[in-house]
Formats: sequence, C-alpha cells, structure tokens
Amino acid sequence: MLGRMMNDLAPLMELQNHMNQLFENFFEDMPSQRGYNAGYPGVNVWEENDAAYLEAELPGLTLNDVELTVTGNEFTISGERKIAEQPGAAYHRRERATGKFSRTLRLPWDVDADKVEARLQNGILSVKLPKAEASKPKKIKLLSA
Amino acid sequence: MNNNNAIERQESQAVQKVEPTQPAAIYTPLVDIVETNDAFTFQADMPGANAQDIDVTYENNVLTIQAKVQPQHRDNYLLQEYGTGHYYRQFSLNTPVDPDAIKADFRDGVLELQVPKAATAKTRKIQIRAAS
Repeated sequence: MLGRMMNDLAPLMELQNHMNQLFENFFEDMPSQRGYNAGYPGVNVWEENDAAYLEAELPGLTLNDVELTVTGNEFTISGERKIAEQPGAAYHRRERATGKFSRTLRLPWDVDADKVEARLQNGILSVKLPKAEASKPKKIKLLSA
Repeated sequence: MNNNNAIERQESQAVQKVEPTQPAAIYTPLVDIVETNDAFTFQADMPGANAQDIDVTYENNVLTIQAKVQPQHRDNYLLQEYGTGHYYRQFSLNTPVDPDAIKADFRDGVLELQVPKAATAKTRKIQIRAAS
C-alpha cells in the first residue's frame, strides 16, 4: 500500500524538485546579511533584452587580478586579492580580507562567450552576459490547416 | 516615545551627520589602519565611489571619511546580494597629526590616506652620555 501511494505522488514530488532546482540555481547560498556569506564577491544580477548584467564589488583589484570564464550557462569569477604588508609597522585595524576567491553562477540559459563584455572600474566589476543564439526563444509558425 | 511633537521630530532629523541628497543607505567601509613611527596609513574599501565625491576632513582630532554614491535602484533584479549607498566612517586620533600634510589617493575603489604624525609625536631616541 505504501508503494502505491508513493507512485501516485511521484509527479508532484518531481514538480517540487523542479521548483527547488529553479530557485537553487540562482540562490545558491542564501545570504544572511549584507556581507559576502553567499560567496565572495557578492553580486547583483538583472536581466534585460536577451542579456544578463552582473555587478560585483571587487575593491583593490584591476582586470589583471581577476579571471572571468564562461562555460555553457556557468559564469565564474576568480582571482586573488593581495595587500602589501608594511614591515615594522603596527596594525591597529585589519578589516579587509585577502586571498584567493572563486565563485560560479549558473544562469538559466547558455551564454554567448564571444560577446561577453566586462569592465572593472572604481572597484566595481560590470559584466554583460548575452544569451547564446540557440537559447533565445523562437516563435513557432502555425501552419494554417 | 511618540514623536507627536512636531518640533521634536524635526530636531531628531536634523541631528543626522550626513545629509544625503536622496534617501539612501549609509555603509561603513572596511578600513585597515597601520601605524609607523612617522605616520598613520588608512586604507578604506569604497567600491563604487568616485574620487570627486569623496570627502576627507580632519577636525578636533577626528578624521572623517565620507563619500556620496548614487544608489542604484532596479525593479528587476534576479539576484541582489549587496546594496549601494553612501559611505561614512569616523576615527578619533589620540596622537597629534599634521593635518596639512595628509595625502589622499583613490585607486580601484580603495581610498588610501597618509596621515603624518606631528613632529612632537614621533618617538625620538634620547642619547645617553656615558660617564667617563
């Protein structure tokens, strides 16, 4: 009897799993507060006109320190922040973090890697990730009877 | 307490230290403070600020760093992990410094301040004359 019940519910469970995955793809880790608990760097992403736009705060880095890679629908930001140590100095406060970081985001569609534009200015990374042609929605023509 | 008193309400709003031109959150930048014998170095992470909108003031032993940043508002974020807004932070310095010689440099979103100590505040070695 238990086996029978599980079978009937299977499509519902599948729908639930699909919905969970849809959200997980974007909200990989829930950020708890303003801070980079979701992974460094924190990002803001919005979609407009067949492209996703991403902004991240990366103070102290130039484009040489950051590596951006695109694989299918995954976009990775990685790099290393180094802060020069002053020998013989006393540190009163050390709040800024250093080290290597890497973060991968998954978009719901494939990215056209050749048309990606990125800029790093005043510590803000701005990236335009256009949709791959194959991922764009296509109107289906209805054949008249 | 209720702010039914219109004058109380106005006064409590007037005490704000930073007056933004539009309602925006104010963020505290992360800062490293390093002290050498000659100077203090402040390094503040302020991504998104522009050099011309940054204000550094020194008054009565208090060093204030602020930056006005245009906050970005969008209706259609897919993911929003950080907000944008102004920066503000104050430091109380116990050591006398030379305010005219403060140097500020803003690069890649990091503000670096070199604050030289006043001549009187630097440690000086005292020569000991040995009795002969």
